[in-house]
Amino acid sequence: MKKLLLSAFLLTTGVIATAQNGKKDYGTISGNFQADGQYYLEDEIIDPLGEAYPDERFLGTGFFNLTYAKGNFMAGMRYENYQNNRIGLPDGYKGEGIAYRYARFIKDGFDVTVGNFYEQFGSGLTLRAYEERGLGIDNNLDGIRMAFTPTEGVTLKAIMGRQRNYFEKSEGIVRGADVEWSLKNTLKWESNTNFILGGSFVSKFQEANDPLYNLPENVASGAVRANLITGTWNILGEYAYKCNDPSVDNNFIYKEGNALYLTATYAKNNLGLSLGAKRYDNFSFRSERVTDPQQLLINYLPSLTTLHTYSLPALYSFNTIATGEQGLQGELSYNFKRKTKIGGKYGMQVKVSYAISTSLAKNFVDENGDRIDRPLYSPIDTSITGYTDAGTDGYESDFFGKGDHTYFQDFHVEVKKKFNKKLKGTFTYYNFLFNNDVQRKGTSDYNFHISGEEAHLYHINAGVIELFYKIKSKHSLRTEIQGLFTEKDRGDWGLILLEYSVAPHWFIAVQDAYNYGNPDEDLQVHYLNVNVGYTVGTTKFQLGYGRQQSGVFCVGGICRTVPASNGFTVGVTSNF
Amino acid sequence: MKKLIFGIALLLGATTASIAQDKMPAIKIKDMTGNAVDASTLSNDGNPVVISFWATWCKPCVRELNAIHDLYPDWVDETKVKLIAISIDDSRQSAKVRPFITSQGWEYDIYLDENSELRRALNVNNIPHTFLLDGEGNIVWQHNGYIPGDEEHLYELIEKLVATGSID
Repeated sequence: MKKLLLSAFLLTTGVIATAQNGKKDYGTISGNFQADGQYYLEDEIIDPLGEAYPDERFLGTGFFNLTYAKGNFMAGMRYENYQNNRIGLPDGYKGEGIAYRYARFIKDGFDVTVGNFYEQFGSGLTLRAYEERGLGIDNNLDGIRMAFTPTEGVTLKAIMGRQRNYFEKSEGIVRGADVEWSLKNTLKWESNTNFILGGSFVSKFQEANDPLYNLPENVASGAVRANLITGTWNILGEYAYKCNDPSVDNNFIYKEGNALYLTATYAKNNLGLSLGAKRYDNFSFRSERVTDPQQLLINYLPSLTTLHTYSLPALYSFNTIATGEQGLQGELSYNFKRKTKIGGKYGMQVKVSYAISTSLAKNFVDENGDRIDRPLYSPIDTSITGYTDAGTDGYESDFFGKGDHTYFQDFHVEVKKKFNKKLKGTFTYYNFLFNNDVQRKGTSDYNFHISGEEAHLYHINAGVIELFYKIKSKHSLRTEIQGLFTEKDRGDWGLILLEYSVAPHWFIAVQDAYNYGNPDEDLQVHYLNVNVGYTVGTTKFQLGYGRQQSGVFCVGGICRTVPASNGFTVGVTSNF
Repeated sequence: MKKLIFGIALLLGATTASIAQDKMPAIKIKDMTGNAVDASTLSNDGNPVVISFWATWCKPCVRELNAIHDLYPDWVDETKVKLIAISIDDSRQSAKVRPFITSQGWEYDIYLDENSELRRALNVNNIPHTFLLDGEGNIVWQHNGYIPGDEEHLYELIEKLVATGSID
């Protein structure tokens, strides 16, 4: 019905627009398109059980976005097609359909969207609807979004709707409101200083009829934030709170959640400094209690670690632990000026970065020394067979306490230097501590507490040298030499990449990653990839062949695991 | 069926429309002091504007903006062009945009599109993605991706635009 209304609305608008404008302006239409396919080859070495060899042999996906805009009116839709989804992407995307369509107008400071929309409140601690196509994330809301600017500098927003869940909708309803006040705009400050205050409220509703637990149907969350910006400083803090929200994520504990996110950055002349702190306690927020791991997230918890993009360091990417983690990050960058002793003729940029994430200080006993979790009884006699935290308050946490487990630590140094007109280089050294149990297996602090086991920490050293050489006008060669060294997991790796580009159309890249240190000698193999790309205007064709190592693939801070595969890939992307 | 109707409606409304976005849409982005700025108001006193979508983690984007950085003083002198770099870094990285540009020494106008709203409205699929606007704010050209040397082609177009008022 809603869809019908929307269509009718659109049609009417179209007709009125046409009727009123006997002349030229019928608005504009634009869009984009992408299609990707992969033909898989069986590879018994990297995939002996054939798990990553699909029955379909060929898998292909594609989408088409269409946007119509005229003056202050916009409407759009996206058609998506998965026949079936490619290996490593969520297989819940199956088939085809219109998963996104909306109409929107902006007038008199009033901005209305009906249909699907994306939105973010503050840093996203209470609400972030977004899409990350490379990962198959799309948690857009289908409903109504309104934004209003009553006076300059003040923005009010209200949303309600249901989240997309593949080609279905979430059972849960999401409602929310946000207010933001930018004092500089309202008070007409002349200087570069601004002070921004904001607050948000988001609540979800999902019916509950669990035989075992008395589950809350409505779960509310709220956040306050403040941001001070001067000519050199930017200091931001946001604190969020959430009512008890038992779900699969937190193993159905009834504890309330809270989240704190602080960043401070300084930038002047050649110096950049950024400091950050985060503390997320039981703050996974989804519109259904039981769902696929990357579906139906209502909020977003920024991870405060660097997003690494060179392929070997990216094998050990960090993922936020929404059920509880705390961490710090510090980053210093300095630009040694041109024509100085260290900077040389062209200058040199240096960045040093450190980040750590640990568990929270959790007590699984209360102040009287009694267990917070509860015993499980044998159905035969009434003996205690074990314990579970499900259905209890789970734990108590000390806000400033130190956690027992390191989840991740990242230290890296990056130096960028231009040597002469033709040659530039980037040199990076990495040192990671990676908690495999927590990051890849999802082991919780409570699991560690019950089992008494220690986490498996991987120590990793890695280095990357990237050189860029301009052969002549429009011809260039880029090379990456990477090494990653660890005694754990899959052992040592070496990688070499050569990429030759001819502007404005062509590139060819050859990459070989060699897992020479794999403890399993059969897996000491080469992962060779060849890619050719052709660009004309906004259209890009890409053809590839290769063996893909299994690993974690991250875009914009969210990661998913990808199984090893082998085959031919083909892709085209375009827009108009 | 209903979806089909919707699609047809959209197409109908648009059959007489011109193809491709011709102006920046009225979507809000944030400047470096946290002010919300309507993207349709971005201008350069009647001179051309280059709009580049980028992110701190996107290596080709940074490569492109660095390549232009070396040439930018000449570009500005000769054509009065202005480059506006719109970062799509999300809240994980957006606070680091300012220290990042400081360390790079860029003198571009920088804006944040933290949840990719403007990016979506302009149908930008992958970054880097570059638009060229004429003095009236009409989008006259766009390009996806970056191959070293692309900046030379872009500058040829800017020069042509300044000389003849069009890139054709």
